[in-house]
Amino acid sequence: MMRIVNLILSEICVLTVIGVLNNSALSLFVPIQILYFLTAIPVALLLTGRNPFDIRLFFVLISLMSVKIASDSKVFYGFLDALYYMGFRDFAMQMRSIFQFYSSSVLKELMIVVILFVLSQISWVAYKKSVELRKRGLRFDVYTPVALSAIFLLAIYYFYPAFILNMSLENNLITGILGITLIVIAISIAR
Amino acid sequence: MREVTANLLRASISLIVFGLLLASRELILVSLIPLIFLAIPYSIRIRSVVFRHPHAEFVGEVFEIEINIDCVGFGILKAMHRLPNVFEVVEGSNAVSSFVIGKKNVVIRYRARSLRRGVFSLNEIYVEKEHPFFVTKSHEKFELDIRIEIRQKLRRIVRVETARTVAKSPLPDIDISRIGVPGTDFREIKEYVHGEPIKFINWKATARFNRLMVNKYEVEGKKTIWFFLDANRYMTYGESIRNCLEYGIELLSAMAYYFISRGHKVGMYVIGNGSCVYPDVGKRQFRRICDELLKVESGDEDVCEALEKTKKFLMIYKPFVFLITRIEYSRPVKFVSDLIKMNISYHVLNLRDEHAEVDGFARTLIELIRSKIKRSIINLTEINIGTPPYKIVAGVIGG
Repeated sequence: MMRIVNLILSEICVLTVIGVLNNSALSLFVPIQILYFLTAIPVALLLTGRNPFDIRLFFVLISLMSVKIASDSKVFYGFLDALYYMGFRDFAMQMRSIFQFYSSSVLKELMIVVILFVLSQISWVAYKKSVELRKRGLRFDVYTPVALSAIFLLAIYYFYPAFILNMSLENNLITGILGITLIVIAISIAR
Repeated sequence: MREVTANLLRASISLIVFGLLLASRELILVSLIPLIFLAIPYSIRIRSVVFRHPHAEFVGEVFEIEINIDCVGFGILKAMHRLPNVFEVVEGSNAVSSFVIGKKNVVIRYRARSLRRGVFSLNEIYVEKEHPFFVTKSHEKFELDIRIEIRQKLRRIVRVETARTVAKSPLPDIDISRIGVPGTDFREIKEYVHGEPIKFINWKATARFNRLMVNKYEVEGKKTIWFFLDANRYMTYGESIRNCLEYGIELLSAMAYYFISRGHKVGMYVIGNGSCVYPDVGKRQFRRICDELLKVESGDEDVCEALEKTKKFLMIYKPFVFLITRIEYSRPVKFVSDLIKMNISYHVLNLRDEHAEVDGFARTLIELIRSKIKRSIINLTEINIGTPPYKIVAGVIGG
C-alpha cells in the first residue's frame, strides 16, 4: 500500500514539474512532451524495489524547476548582462526577453515537490520498517507516523507561505538566523 | 546517519545551494521544510514497568508473562523482553512497538515455555525510543529483579521392580533402615557399648552372662536410598536441551519422589558439581533435592573421588546406592568394587543417547568399552534417554 502511495506522490511531483516547465522558457527550446518520460522513472524505481521518489529523482526535478526559477533570478539576469558586455548582445537580449516573459512565482509548486518528497521519504522508511518488523513477528502501525507527517506537512503547506510572504525585509535577518538554528538542530539530532 | 535523515539533509542542502546560486528566496525558504522535520523534538519517558509472571513452573509447561510499560511523550517506542536461549515463545511476542502520543500503556504479553530446568533471570527489558518520523533513535535497558524457577517435570514412577533374590528380611520391599529412632520390634540382645541408653539394659541377660547386655530393637524407617548423579561434562554431550544430564535429573527426581513417598530416606550426591543432600525423609527432603537439581551444571569429578567424599555417610546409613551415569565415560568398575567392599547394595543406571552417538568406528569402540564394563558390573540397567522415566524398571531395593 505504502509503495503505491509513494508512487502516486512521485508521479504528482513529476506532473507538477512538467506543468511548471510547460509555462517556462524551456518549452520554447524543448518539446515538453519529451519530459513525460520522467513519469516512467518512479515506476522503474518501484519495480527495482527502490523508493519511487528517490533523492536522485528529486535532484532532477529541482534542476528542471530551476529553469523556471531562473526567470525570476537576478543572478541569472546578471549573467545575461555579463554575456551582453562580453559581446553576445543578440543572444543575451533574446534570452532576457524570453525569460522575462515567463517570470512568475513557483513557490507553491516548489513547496508541493519538497513536501511530497519529505512525505515519501517518511512513508518509505515506515514501509521498510514495517516489513522488517513483520519478519521478526512484530506488528507496526505504519499509518500513524505517515498520517501525522501528512497533517504536519499540510499545515506547513497552508501556513508557511502566508508566514513568509507577509514577512518584511528586516525580518529576513530573523529568517536567516532561524534557518541556521534549524540546520544546527537538525544536524545535532541527526547525529 | 539514517537513510531518511541523510536524504532530508541532502534535499535541504541542495535547495540551499540552488537558492544561493540563483539568489532565489523561494528556494532558500523551501529548503527549511526538511529541516523543520529533522528539528522536531521527541521524547519518551517511561514512568513505570509492572511485571506479572509466575514464580515457578515446570519444564515444557506454558506460562504467561505480562509487562506493562507506562510511558509518556511523543515518538515510537519499541520494547523487547530478553529471554534466555532455552525459552520458547509459543504465543504472542516478547517484543512490541507502539506510537506514543501523550500517555500510553504499552503491554508486552506472551506465552512461553522453558525447554530446560534452572533458575532464570528475566530481568532485562530493552527499550528503543525512536523519532516519530524515524530521524533518530536511542536505546535504553531496564533491569528488574525478576527470577523464575523452572523445575524438572515430575514423571511419577508407579512401580520399581524388585529382583527375585533371597532376602535378609521377610519383607524386602520394606527393608529397614540402619539408623534411626528405635521402634518396638525386638531384634537381638547385644553387649552394652558405652553411650547406649541404660533403659535398654536387659538385667536378666546381664545376670546370666555376667556382662552388661542390652536389648536391640529395629529402628523405625525404611532403608536409605542414595543417588549418585553423574554431572560430568560427558553427560551433556548431544543436544543442549535433551541430553543425558537432563534426563538423569528427570529420572532422579522421579525416583526420589517414588522412594520418599514410600517412606524411605533419600540422599543425593551430584558428581562433578559437588552438591550433596544428606539422607532424610518427607516432602521437605524432596523439595531440597529438587532445589539442588535446579542448580546442577556440568563439571569435572571422578566417580571414585565422589565415593570417597561420601564414604562416611555411606558407612553410617548403609544405603542402597543408585549411580546414574554413562559407563563408557565414567568407567565405574572401581566405584562398584568399593561399594561391594563396604557391603553396600547398588544399581547402576547407564544412560545412552542413541541419537547423539556417532556412527561407524567410534560407535563400535563405545560399544566395546560398554560391553567390557558391563561384564564387571552385575546390577546394571541400560536406559535410552528417549524412554519415559515411568517405564523404567530400576532394579533392586532391599534383598
